[in-house]
Amino acid sequence: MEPIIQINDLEFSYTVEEDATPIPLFQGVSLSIEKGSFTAILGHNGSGKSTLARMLNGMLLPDGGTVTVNGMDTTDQDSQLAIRKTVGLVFQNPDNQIVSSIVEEDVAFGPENLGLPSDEIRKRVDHALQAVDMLSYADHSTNRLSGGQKQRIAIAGVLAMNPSCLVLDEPTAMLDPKGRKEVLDTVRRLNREQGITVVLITHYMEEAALADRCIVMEHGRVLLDGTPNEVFAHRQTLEQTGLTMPAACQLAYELQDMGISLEPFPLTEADCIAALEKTLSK
Amino acid sequence: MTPILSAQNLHFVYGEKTPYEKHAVTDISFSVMPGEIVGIIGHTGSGKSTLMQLLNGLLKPHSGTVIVDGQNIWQDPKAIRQYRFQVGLVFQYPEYQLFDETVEKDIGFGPKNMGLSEEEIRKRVLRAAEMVEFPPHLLPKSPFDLSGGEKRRAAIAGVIAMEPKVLILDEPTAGLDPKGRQTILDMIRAYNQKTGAAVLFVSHNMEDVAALSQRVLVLSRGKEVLFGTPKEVFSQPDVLQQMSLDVPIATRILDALSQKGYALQKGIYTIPDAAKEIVRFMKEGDRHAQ
Repeated sequence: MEPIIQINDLEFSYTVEEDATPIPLFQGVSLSIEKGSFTAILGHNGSGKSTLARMLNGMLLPDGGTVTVNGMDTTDQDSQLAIRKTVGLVFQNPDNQIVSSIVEEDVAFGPENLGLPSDEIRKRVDHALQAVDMLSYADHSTNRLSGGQKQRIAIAGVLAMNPSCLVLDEPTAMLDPKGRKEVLDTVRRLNREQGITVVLITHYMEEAALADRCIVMEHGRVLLDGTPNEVFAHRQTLEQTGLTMPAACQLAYELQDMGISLEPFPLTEADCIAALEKTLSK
Repeated sequence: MTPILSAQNLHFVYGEKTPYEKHAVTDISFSVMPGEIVGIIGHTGSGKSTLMQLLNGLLKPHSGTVIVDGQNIWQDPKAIRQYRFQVGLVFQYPEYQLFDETVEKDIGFGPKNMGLSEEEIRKRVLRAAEMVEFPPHLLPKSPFDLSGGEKRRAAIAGVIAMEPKVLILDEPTAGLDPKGRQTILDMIRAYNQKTGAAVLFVSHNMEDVAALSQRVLVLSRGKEVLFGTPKEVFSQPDVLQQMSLDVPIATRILDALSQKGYALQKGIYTIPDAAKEIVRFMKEGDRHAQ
């Protein structure tokens, strides 16, 4: 598989106050994100997850090293628009991302700024709303939507730009369980059915367990990188960084301590039930 | 023992006699004992936030009474303000409500409004800061220079500094990372144990509710559906799921196995207890008992 995003020896420091000495965050991070993959990025607050997300479409630029999107360097001014069309960002707070009072106008905001002809905008808006299952809300007012609906509108707004990669920075953190499920289902569907590359930053281990790949960040470094199975096998490392395990894993580890091993080791609730059933029926 | 807080037949309507009329709270009655921790769950729009505002007199019920420490809070409407000090309310994302020049002034705002002396205010600010493990050297800083977790703790300290008899928190852990969540939960428990204040908290996270609450109040469409110990509430997963509420994952896993014919105990809601129950079941071997 070829990478859509390639990060080489990334260095970045941030300044808290003016004139203060910059505090280094990334000191030589290298990563590549494969086309069509679903990657979850984990790590506690301050580990550099959100900064990394903003590096992926050139909202923040590296101090050293390179970030390339489809071969285009994010520091290259001429590629900026192409990069932002390729990689779309969705943020945590649904209320901060809505710009219009009507759903379809909000989704049209991006393509309008691209100067597209109006029939093309219409097509893209309908497509995007369809993709997030919000087409029937096209002429609704944005301020009466639930958090999950607003977040799906935010995703539609990004989809209307026809991106090949979605980067979502804790998109479900402010939502109730129902909203969280709506958003997560939407993101998974976009990845599977439309082949959109997804980078999902999350605090929810249950969400991370559904990804193809998990990256755990700490102090601006990649601490763990692998399939959810590989990453959640590092019980102690995860506990030391203050991250919890998916609940299914916790139960499996708890049982393991009591002398019962579940096969195969479960990450999700469904796997856990299946594995327990197998063990109990023996 | 007499309850520290009790709600009797509370009823509240938004936009009464308009096309938007909405019965947000319908006939809710429950009591909270001194020192008790009560978790409140219910999906969005179930009336949780309205109820919280009724409990400290920010909203006046259309009918029914709220009794704090033996007093009907609306007996004398002019005296309602004192009940807002006695029942401290921490809103959702309280960090957005920080406003003062320094953290110290911000935490001291409540006590100042209570008309306390400078010296007493200072004492309470320090005590509240210690309670939420807020580093004292950050007190002279602007609240806007703090990290997200620090801001949240400073905002909670601002309510704690009024030393309310009942502390109510609306989704205190929303949006925090696992470590930040744990810190807030530990803090709530410690505050409850040290001061003996009753705590009510709203949460969407069933694991948090299971870990912290002595009793759980379940709301749906403005009505009280269940009120009991976590064991009692979580042993009725059908009722909760009907209201599209989650049950703790440990409960869900054991229930799924029960439905497949393994006679596991109902009402288990923590991971360690679930593991113990599975081990017990395997040892005793009473398979397919149902």
